[in-house]
Amino acid sequence: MSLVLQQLQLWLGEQPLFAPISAEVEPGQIFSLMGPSGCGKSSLLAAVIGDLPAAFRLQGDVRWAGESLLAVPMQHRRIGLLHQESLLFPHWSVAGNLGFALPAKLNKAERKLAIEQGLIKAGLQGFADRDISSLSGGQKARISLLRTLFSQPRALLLDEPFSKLDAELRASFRQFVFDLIAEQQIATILVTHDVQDCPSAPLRMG
Amino acid sequence: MRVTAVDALGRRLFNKPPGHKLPPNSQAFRGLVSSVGRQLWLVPSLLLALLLIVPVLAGLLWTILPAFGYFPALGRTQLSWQPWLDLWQAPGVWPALQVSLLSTALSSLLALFWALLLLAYAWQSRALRWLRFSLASVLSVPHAAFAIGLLLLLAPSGWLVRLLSPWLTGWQLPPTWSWVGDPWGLSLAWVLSLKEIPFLLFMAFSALSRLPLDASLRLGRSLGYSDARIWWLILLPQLLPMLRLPMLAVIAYGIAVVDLAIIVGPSTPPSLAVLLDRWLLHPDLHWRLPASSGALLLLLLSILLFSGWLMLEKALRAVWLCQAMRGNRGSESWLARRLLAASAWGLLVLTLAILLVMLVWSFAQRWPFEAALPVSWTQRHWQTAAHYLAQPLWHSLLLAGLSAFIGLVWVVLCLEAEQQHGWARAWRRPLLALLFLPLILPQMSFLFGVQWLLVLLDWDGQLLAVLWGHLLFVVPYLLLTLSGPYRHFDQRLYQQALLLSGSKARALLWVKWPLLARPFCYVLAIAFAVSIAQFLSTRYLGAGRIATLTTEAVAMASGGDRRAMAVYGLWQWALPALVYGLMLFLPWWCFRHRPLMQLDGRS
Repeated sequence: MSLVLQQLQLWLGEQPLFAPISAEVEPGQIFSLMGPSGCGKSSLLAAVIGDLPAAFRLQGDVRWAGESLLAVPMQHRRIGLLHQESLLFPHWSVAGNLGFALPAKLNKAERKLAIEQGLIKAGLQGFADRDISSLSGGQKARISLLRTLFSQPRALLLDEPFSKLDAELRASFRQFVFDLIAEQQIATILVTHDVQDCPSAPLRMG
Repeated sequence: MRVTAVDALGRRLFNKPPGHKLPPNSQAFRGLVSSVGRQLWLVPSLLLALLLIVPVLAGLLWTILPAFGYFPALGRTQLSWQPWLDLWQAPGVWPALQVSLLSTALSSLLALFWALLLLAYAWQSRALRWLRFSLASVLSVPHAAFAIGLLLLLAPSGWLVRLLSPWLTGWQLPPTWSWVGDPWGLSLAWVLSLKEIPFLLFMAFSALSRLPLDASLRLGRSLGYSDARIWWLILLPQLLPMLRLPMLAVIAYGIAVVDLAIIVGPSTPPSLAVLLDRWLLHPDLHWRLPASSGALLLLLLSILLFSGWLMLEKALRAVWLCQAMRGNRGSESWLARRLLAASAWGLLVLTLAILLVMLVWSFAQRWPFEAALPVSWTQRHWQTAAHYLAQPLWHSLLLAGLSAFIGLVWVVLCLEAEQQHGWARAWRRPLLALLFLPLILPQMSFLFGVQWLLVLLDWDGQLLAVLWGHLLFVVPYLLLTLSGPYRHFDQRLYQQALLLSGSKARALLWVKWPLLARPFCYVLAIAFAVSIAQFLSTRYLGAGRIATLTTEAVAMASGGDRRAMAVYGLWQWALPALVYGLMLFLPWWCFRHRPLMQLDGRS
C-alpha cells in the first residue's frame, strides 16, 4: 500500500518542466522534493491530486496499491493537500472546519469527541468555538493540518507548508507535522525550497 | 455502494445483461461515468441557449418578416416594401424619429461623459465613495418610479417650486411652462441620462478592477502628472473599450424606452418607440406591419448611434494620444473637482428627495400651491390603492421573486459548468455575446416578434410567458454582475473542500456557495429590481392581461392624479428597496460572528 510516482513528467506545450520522476512512498515515509520557483513543484502535486490545469500535459502514472489513480476523480483519490496558506473556511468556527472533514458516519457525540481530542493533540484545547480570524498563523497551520488528517487521507501532499511561518514557529510546527505523519502512517510528499524542512535527502528538481 | 451504482449504470449504457461480469473497479467505467457526469453540466448552458437565445432570434425573425409584408394572419404571404412605405407616410413619424434620435444620442453621451468626469475629477472624493457604496440601491430604483418622483419634485407645481414660492420666485400661482414633454425630447434625454449615470458608473467600477489603477496613478504622479491628467491620458483610453457593451445597452434602451417616454417625453408626436407601441396595441391588425418596420428601424438607429459612438471613441483616443505626446502635466483643477463631487452628492440627494416627495404626495389631502407641505393629510390614497394594487403587487412579487431565483440558480450552474470544464472557455465569448442580445437589441425589435410567436402558440397573456420574458432580461444582468465574483473565487478553497469531503455536492453546497453568499444576495437584489422594472416585456407577453406595479404605475402617470401616482411609484420603489435591504441584512446576520465574511475578502 504505497504511493507510486512512475516516470512522472509534466509538459507545458512542447517543453518538459522537469526530468521524469519515479518514487515509491511507503506509509509513514516523507519523500521530499526541492527546486527553485517555477520548476513545476506545485504543478506536480496538482497532477498527483488530479487537479492539473488544462495547459499542462502529464506523462507517466500515479498509483496507489498498484491501481492507477489517473482516471479517478480528485475527490475520490483520498489524498490530502496542505498549502503554505491555511485555507481554513472563513464562514465556520474551528470546530466547523474540523467537523467538515470528519467522516459522515460519525454521530454528533463522536464528532465532538474527535474534535476535542484533536485539539488537545495540537495544543489548542478550548479552541473549538473560536473564529478563525482570532487565530495566529501557527494556530491556523495546526488546525489546517488537523483538518486534513481528519479526512483520513491515504497519502498527504505538503506544498511548502512551513514557508510562511517564522523561524521558531517553523521548527515546532515541522516537528508536529512529522510526528503526526509517523503516528498515522501516511505516505507523504513534501515540496519545499528550504533543505532544513526536509527530513531526508531531497530529490532536486529543475 | 458507489461501485455497484457505477456498474449498474455501465450495464445500462452498454445494454449488457445483468449476469454479464464487469470488473468491479474498472477504470473504464469510472471514466465513462465521469464523462456522463461531465455532459450533465452541459444541460444548464444548453437550456440557456435554447430558452433564451433561440426565442430572441426567432422573435427578431418574426419582426423582420412582417416588416417586409409577410403576415399570414392578414393573408399577406408575399414579401414587399409596402410596410416601409406605410411607415414613412404615417403621420408624426419623422418628428418621432427626431425625438428618439436626439434624446438617445444626448442621454447616452451626457451619461457617459458625466460618469467619466466623475471618475477623473472626483475619484478620491467622499461623494463618489458614497455614490459607489449606495450604487446598487440607486440602480434598483425603477425607471418609471424615478420619472414619477422627478415629475412630482420638479414640475412647475412640484415640491421644489412650492418650497421656493413665493419668497424667492414671487410666483403666487404655478408657472405655465413645463420642463417635461418638450417637442425635442430634451427632458426625456435628461431623465434618461440621470438614470444611466449610475449604470455606467457601476460598469466602470467593475471594469476598473481589471486595470492597474493604483499603479497607474502612482506612476503618473511620480512623473509629475495631475490625477485628472492621468485619468484622461492613461486610464480612460483603456476604460472606454471596456464600456462598449454597456454603451450599446444604454443606446438600445434609450431608443426603445416606452415607460419613461410616456411619463416625461413629448406626446404629440411622441418618441418613435411610443408611437410604435400605440400601433402595436391598435385593434386594427394592419398597423402591425408598419409597426414591425418601425421596430426594425429602431434596431438600425441603435446600430447607427453605436457606430457613431465607436467613431467618436476612436477620435477621442487619438486626441488623448496626441495630448499625451505633448507631455503637458496639467494641474489639479480645484473647481472641477468640487463641481463634480457636488454633482455626485446631487445625484444621491435627488434620489432621496424623489423618495421623500412621493411619500409626502401619497399622504397629501389638500396641498394648495405655495404651501411647502400639505395642509391636510390622509391615508385614503393608500387604502384606495390597496384595493386595486393587490393583484399587480402579487404579480410583481411572484414574477420578480421567481425570475430572480430561477435566473440565479441557472446562472450559477452555468458559471460552475464553465469552471469545471475547459470546453466552455472556447464557447464563452460567442455564447455570452448572444446572451447579451436582449440588452443590446432595442426591446421592440424582438419583443414584437416574440409576442406574435406566443399568439400563434396560444401562450400569450399567461404568467409563465411573462416570467420567461422577464428571465430574458434578468439572466444577462445576473451574468454581468455575478461572473466577476464567481470567476475570481479562490478555487483553492473549493479544492480543499473537495479533497476533505470527497464529494462535489458537499464542496459546493457547504463551502463554495455559502462563501459566495454575499455576491449571491447582491445580484439577487439586482435581478429582482430588473424584473420589477420590466414594462414592455410584461405588456407584450402578458397581452395586457398581466398587470404589475410597473404597468399600473405607468398607466397612473399618464392619468395625472399625483397622489395615486405617488402611491404607485412608491410601491414600485419599495419592493426592490425592501429586497435590497433584506439581501444586505441576511448575509450580515448569518455571518455576524465571522469577521472575515464581513470583509468580503474571499468573495
